Parts: sequence; C-alpha cells; structure tokens
Amino acid sequence: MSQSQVSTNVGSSTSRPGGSTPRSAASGIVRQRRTGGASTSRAAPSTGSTGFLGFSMDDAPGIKVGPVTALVSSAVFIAAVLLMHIGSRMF
Amino acid sequence: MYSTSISSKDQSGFCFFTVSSFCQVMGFLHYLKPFISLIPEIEAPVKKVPFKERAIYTVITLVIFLVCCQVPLYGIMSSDSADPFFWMRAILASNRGTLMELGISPIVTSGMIMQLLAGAKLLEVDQSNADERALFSGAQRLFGLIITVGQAIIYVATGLYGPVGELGFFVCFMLVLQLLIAGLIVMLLDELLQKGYGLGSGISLFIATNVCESIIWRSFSPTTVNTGRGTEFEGAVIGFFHLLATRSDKFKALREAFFRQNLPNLTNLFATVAVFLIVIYFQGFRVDVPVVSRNAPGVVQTYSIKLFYTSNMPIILQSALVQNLFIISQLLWFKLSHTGLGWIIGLLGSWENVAYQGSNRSYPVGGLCYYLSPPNGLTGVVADPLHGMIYIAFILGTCALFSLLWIDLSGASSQDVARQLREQQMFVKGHKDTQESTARQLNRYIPTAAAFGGLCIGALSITADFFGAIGSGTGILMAVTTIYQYYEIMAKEQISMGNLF
Repeated sequence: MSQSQVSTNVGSSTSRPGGSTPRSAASGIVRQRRTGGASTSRAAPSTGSTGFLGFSMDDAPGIKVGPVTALVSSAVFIAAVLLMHIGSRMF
Repeated sequence: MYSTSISSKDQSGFCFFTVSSFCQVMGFLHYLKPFISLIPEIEAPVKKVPFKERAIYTVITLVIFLVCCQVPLYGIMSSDSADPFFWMRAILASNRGTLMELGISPIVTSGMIMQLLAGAKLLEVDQSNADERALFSGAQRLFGLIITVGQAIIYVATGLYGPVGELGFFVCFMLVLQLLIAGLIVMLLDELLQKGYGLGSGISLFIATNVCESIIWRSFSPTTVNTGRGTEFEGAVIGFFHLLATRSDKFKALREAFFRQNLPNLTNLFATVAVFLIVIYFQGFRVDVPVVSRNAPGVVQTYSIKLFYTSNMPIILQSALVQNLFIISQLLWFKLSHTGLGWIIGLLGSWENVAYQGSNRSYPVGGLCYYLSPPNGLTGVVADPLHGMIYIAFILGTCALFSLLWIDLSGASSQDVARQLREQQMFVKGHKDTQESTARQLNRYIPTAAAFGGLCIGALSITADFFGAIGSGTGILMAVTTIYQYYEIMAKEQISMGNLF
C-alpha cells in the first residue's frame, strides 16, 4: 500500500499535543503531528489510497515497471525524438 | 468475481442513462481488462522511501518534464497556425509544438469524467473490493490514453502542425504516436511521485513549474520587440530599467513601463505578487473544531477545517471542462462553419485568428465560448459588460459547485471525516460520541468552507485576470497552492525526521 501524499485535496489537519498514538488515518485527510515527541508514527492508510483526481494508487492490473525503468525509458524516448530530428536534418 | 452492483436510484440528475446502459458501461469495463493489463504502471515501493531519495526522484521527474517541454515534436512543418489554447497552456502544463503539447489535460479530463460517473453512482465501485478498485483505476488510465489519442488526432487533423495533405500519413501517424507516448510518460511520472517515490503530485508540480517559468520569463525576458515606439525588452523588469535609461522623458518612460499594453508591464508584475501574497494569507484561514478522544477524555485536540478546503481542485476541474468545450467548438467552427449548420455552431462559439506578438492566436468572438472566455482586462469589461458579468457568474458558480462536488468525490465530506475520526475514537467535544452526531457537527462547517472557499478562489482568479496578472489568475492560484502544499510536506517531514539535511 502506498504512502501517498494527497496533495490536492487535503483540507485539514489534526494536531495532537501529546495525545495517544494514532491508530490509523485515511491517507492525507487527517494528519497527525506531535509537538513534543522525537518520533511520529505515520499511520498507514486504512483503505486504498487515492491520488490526484481519485486516480486510485492501488495496483491496477497493468505491466509493473520500477521507478528507474520509467525514468530511463522516458529519457530514451526523448533521445529517440531528438535523433529523429537530427536524422531528418542530415538526410 | 469482478461483480459490480448497478445502482438504479438516480442521485444526481444524470437520469438520461437507462439502467440497461449502466450494465453495458460496467460490462464494458470488464471487456477492457485485457487492454488495461497492457498499460505500464509503476510498482508500489515495498517499504517507505527515504526523504532524500524522494527528493532526488522528484528533481529527476521535473527535469524530464522540463526537457519534454522544450523538445519539439518530430514532423511539424509549421506551428504558425493559430494557437487555440494560449491562455490555458500554463494551467494545463502544456507547451506549443513540443512533446508536452497536451500536458496534463487528458489525465485530468479522464479523471474528472470517471470520478463524476462514480460520484453520480453511474459506475458503482465497491471501494472495499481491491479487484474492483484496481479495475476502476485501470479503466481511468486506459480512458486517459484514449483521450490522449483523441486530442492528438484532433490537433493533427485541424492542421495545427501544417496541412494534413502535405504532412503525409506517416508523419501524421508519428505525431500522434509521439503525443501518445508523451501522455503515457506524464501519467507514469505522476504515478511515480504519488506512489511514494517522490513528493506531492506530478500534476500539481508540472503546473506550478510551468506557471513559475512563465512568470520569471515575462518579468526578466531579454527578448527585444520592436513596438513602433522603438525597441523594448519583453521582460517587465528589464523593460523598466531599459526604458528609464534610454528615454529622455523619465515620467513618460515610467508610465510606459507600468502601463504598456502589448507587453508585460510592471502593473502585471505587482498584481502577480499581490495575488501570491493574498493566497498565502488566506491559506491560514481555518475553523478549529475541538475534538476529544474516547481514550483520553480530558485532552482537547483540534481538527482544523481550512477555508481553502478543496484547494485548487475547483479551478483545475473548471479549466479542464472549458478547454474540452473550446476544443470541440473550435473544431466545429473551423471545419463546418461554412456549411448550412453554421448558425448552430456559431451559438456554441465562433472563432477568429488574431495576430499577437508575431504568433497567431484564436480568440472566440461569439457564442457560448465567447462568454465563457476571460474578457480582455478592465477595458474589455467596460466595452462589453454582459460578457464580463456572464464570465464572473460562470467562474464563481462553477468554482463553488465543483468545490461542493469535490468533497463528495474525494472522500472529504462530513460523513467521511466523521468516519475517519471515529476510527481514531475521536468525537466533537460536547456532543454525543456517535458518528452521526460528529458528522452533523462537521456538516455545519465543511460544506460552507468548501463552497465559500471555491467562491473565494474563483473571485481571486477573476481579480487577478482583470489586473492582467502574469500567468493568469488561475495559473497563479495553482502555483501558490502547490508551492504551499510542498511547504507543508517539508514541514511535516522536518517534524517526523528531526533534521532534514
């Protein structure tokens, strides 16, 4: 389960000045913060986390790629387009 | 196994669909499963990625995005034809004639439509069923790619990159292919950030970057333009110093620097800064609801409801809606306005190409699209008050409406928050410790905050537009809210990790 930052629709936060350990929170909606303690336990999302515009960040039935693979293949695609540009100039 | 219940009760007025067509829609999703499983997807991290690594991933993602914004599409003959979306480019993170031509628009459109379908219970997704959720999110992705191809074909077919006949089939195909792969990349990069490898959301990050880039460029651009009153610098700040230094009449030079019409002036720049500051100021507005925990009844904590409860969401949704309407209207106008149907198409919108600073731009000059497009500053409002009034009413109305819709769609409504608080054994202080009671108390604030916050966002955006703020009012709002979100993420990380670096 991902620990996603829901960055577009967070509208609220809960501050707990020395309260008990948070049990669980739906992603990003309720955020815990302890002012005194050294460590804060980040609660894992209880159900599937939702990203931007509700793009569910659950594992969809797709081809799994790692983050590095995705970045490298993006770079390769850009390089390919650039090569096509160069190729079209030369011939 | 992938059963989905079909809701026959109509909740949101989408009553033009029959129950049998619901069945087809959901059944259709299942037929799409083989295609959905072909779409690449970032695998979720096994354990939490350290902050430094996430920062690095975020930076690399941003670099790839920025490069994509600069690499021209292969096969373009000309991009001199009228630019239909110049005012929405910053908001949709798109750049003319580059790999990022479409920007985030397909993703947002697909997300919006699917969420609206789900929110209106036309597609009922059982959120507790992992398989169903996965199928829904997969369908959203597939739909996003289909919209990418659709928009790409429309762009190529309308001759945005040169006449189709001269380009030939192969180049047209290559153009669509490039736009498709670029769309896929945007989707993957966004997912990469959101799944926990990076910080924030890719979409917000791209928008903020694009807006900031245009603000910096238009303030400090060293490009010179011949205005007829002598050569002037495009950048507002550089232009100001240049004018002061070269003109003999310093007072006139000052007035020119502040009020020149066809180039970014200092008024625009100050309006931009003012909007930035106002938004940051308003970000702090909130209502604190006192809550107590059942485990520790004496300790009172607060649950804050921000004024900008839904943040920039209403504006994103509204821009995506308007952009899609404008694409369709333009396509119809330029292809079919000379036929007998011209007057109907004219009701939706009639368009005209206007030369502006060396490039062509398409402006709506009549019909619905004209009234929904921003007026040309205060002078534009005075010249056509009806246009101004309809535009203001439209923006304020849609912002408030989308804001209210969004709290239900995104799971931030009073009921949802009450449920989350209940899961933590927390209740509103001085009220019954039931979920219903908590929801009722929260309901006094959340819808109001959402609707009023949406109105404020809309009003700010309009004001910024009238003063000609650089990067459009909407764009600035998106940039500020995104930057503020990043600031909050940083603050949170700092608390949870002690010191960052």
